[in-house]
Amino acid sequence: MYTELFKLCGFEAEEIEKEKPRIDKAFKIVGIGIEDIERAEDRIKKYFDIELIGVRKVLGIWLKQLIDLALAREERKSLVYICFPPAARHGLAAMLTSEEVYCHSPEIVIDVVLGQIFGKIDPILEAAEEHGMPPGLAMCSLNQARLGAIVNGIAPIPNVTLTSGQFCDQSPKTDELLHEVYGIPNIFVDACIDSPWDEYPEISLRRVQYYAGELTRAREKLQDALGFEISEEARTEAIRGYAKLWWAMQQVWELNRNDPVPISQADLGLFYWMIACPERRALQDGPQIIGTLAREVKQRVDEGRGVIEKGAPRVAWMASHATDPSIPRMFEEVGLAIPVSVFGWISPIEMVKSKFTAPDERIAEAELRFGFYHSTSAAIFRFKEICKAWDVDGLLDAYSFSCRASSFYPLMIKRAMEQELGIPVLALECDLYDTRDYSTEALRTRVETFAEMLRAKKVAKE
Amino acid sequence: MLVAGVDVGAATAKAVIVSDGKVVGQAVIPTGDRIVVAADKVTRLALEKAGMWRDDFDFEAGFDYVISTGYGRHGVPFANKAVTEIICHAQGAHFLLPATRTIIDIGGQDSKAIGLDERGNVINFVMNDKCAAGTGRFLEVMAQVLGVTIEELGPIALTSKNTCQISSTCTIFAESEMVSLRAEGKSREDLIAGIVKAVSSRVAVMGKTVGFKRDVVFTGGVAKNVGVKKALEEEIKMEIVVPEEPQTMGALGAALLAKAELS
Repeated sequence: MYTELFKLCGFEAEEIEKEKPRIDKAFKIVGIGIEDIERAEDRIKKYFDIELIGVRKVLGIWLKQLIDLALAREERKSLVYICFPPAARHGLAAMLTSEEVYCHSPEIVIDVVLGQIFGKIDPILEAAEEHGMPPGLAMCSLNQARLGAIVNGIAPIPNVTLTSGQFCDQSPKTDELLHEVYGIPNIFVDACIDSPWDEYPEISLRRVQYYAGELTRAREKLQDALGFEISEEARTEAIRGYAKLWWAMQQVWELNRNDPVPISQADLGLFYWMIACPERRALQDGPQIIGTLAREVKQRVDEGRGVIEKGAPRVAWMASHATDPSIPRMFEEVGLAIPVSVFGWISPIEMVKSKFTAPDERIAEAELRFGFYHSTSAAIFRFKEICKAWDVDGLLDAYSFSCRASSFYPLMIKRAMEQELGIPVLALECDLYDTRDYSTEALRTRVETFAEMLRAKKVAKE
Repeated sequence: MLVAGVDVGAATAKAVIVSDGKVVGQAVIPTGDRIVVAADKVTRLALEKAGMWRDDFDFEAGFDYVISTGYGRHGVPFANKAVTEIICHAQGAHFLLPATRTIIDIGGQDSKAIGLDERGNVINFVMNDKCAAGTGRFLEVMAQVLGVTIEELGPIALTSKNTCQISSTCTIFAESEMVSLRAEGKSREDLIAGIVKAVSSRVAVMGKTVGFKRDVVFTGGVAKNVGVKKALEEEIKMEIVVPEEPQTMGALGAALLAKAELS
């Protein structure tokens, strides 16, 4: 029933056979039937570049992550649900310390696998809307997926949640709800998002130390909940493993500087979400899969092949949609090349060698240096840095309707880019986590016009 | 050289025929539920008005070039190319009124503010997102609630002495607000003026992100509403120019672009 699907996702026949009992059990829990499988096959062929082995393999990692999530209670002793970014490395460290621990953000798995691959995320969001996160109240759909997956029994009840309001208040509020309804204990990393407007790219020592102190306190609580110590060695290894994934992806981003752009953001999104919130499989197999992708993309560059015609206007965009690959495909259909995502590329500011040695201080500094977890001014700074570094013709700021953190500054970004850099910006209200909040076809008019504007500007410049 | 611009919008379909560089015919009809039929019918009607319709007229072979625009642009089978209505409105307005630097376009389903350069190129634009507030649909619903035709809204609004404050921007909420204001005894004129002001405020706020520069030209079906024009002028504190046929501006721009394709 699912052999073809798993082959499309880079599985060998023996691996499918070996994994069959787990797949059967997990698909039953998730409620995946023949229609879903056929739909997934169609979507994969339509939206993803399955000519590339790296893309097939990353799709495979995602399917494995769904199976791992559904069977986590059965296969592991302790389950920890984390929110990214601040808790991701703690989660990795816990998993590196004990094989008995499952640690992940279920909402990311649900969004990518049920959203992008199966096109079946609405029932999860509707379940959340019926159980405490109602529609029409600016609830983040990423967090709705966390609640909905638990309500629908796809994500088992965890032993503990580890979360932070460092980027947004919705994660801790969702976990408070989970505590109230399901009695799940919470561990919070206190936030320190408020900052002087012009501080970035400097990061104040006080903020790093406060954040690091909170991370340490949260780790100690996590250790108490798990019943074992997370060693410094495991923490250092987690930091190293996380960084290794991000650095590996930089090779691919750099190849995307070529004209024509060799790979679509629809495909790169699968990689972005894998490294944004990595778990055991991403850590183990991720670097090799990214390496495969980099070799394949390099070959395309050498052959002068791309996903859009040479000379197309080049735009940066904010971040890959977690649930919907049709958006980047539509951008390409109207003739826009998207070499870089603001969330995906590591800017030179982040490449500064850390002066801190303690693991929690290094994590805190890295998160704050990323910009988006520092302040609005830092987010704007980062947009500007990337647009300058990539010499793009425009910026597509496709922000999330229900994301209180990122929907706050599109106009500030537009003003900064247009006035300071002379780069046209299209602020596009959509949603990275909920396809019900927009229509791809309604957005097409804006994007087509923007593409036409950029083409005319390019011609005038030449 | 015979070219056509066909604008299939959410509410109406428009066509403009240009022969040897001159506009010779234009037409507007309701879009209905079938884009192909609407495109066919409105183009035929425009040809009839140009005195060029023959029973054996073949849309594929009869025109030298056709550009389609509007929401239904990708569904016009005889079009050689599809171009967005934003680009087409800019071209149309620039052709008729070369001093145009800002277009306010309010159609049936959406509203837009468009910034132009001196050659008619779009340099900035903004559109309403996902919501009927600030569109012709909003006016249509309110006209129904108040038992007047959409054409009557503008002239009635101008007779108001005490404009009502409509606080809801959502079409559905504004409808219920309208019912309670009527129950309070507010006059029809004041209610209609309030509706017109609500649309204008919404569009003016949206357009500020593009910036209003002279000459400001008002296009789309709602531009025929004298009440909205006056309220918009008050909002942006600038005179607004309404062309003779504001509704066919997109189709005209499409026809001009079709002509340019051949030159």
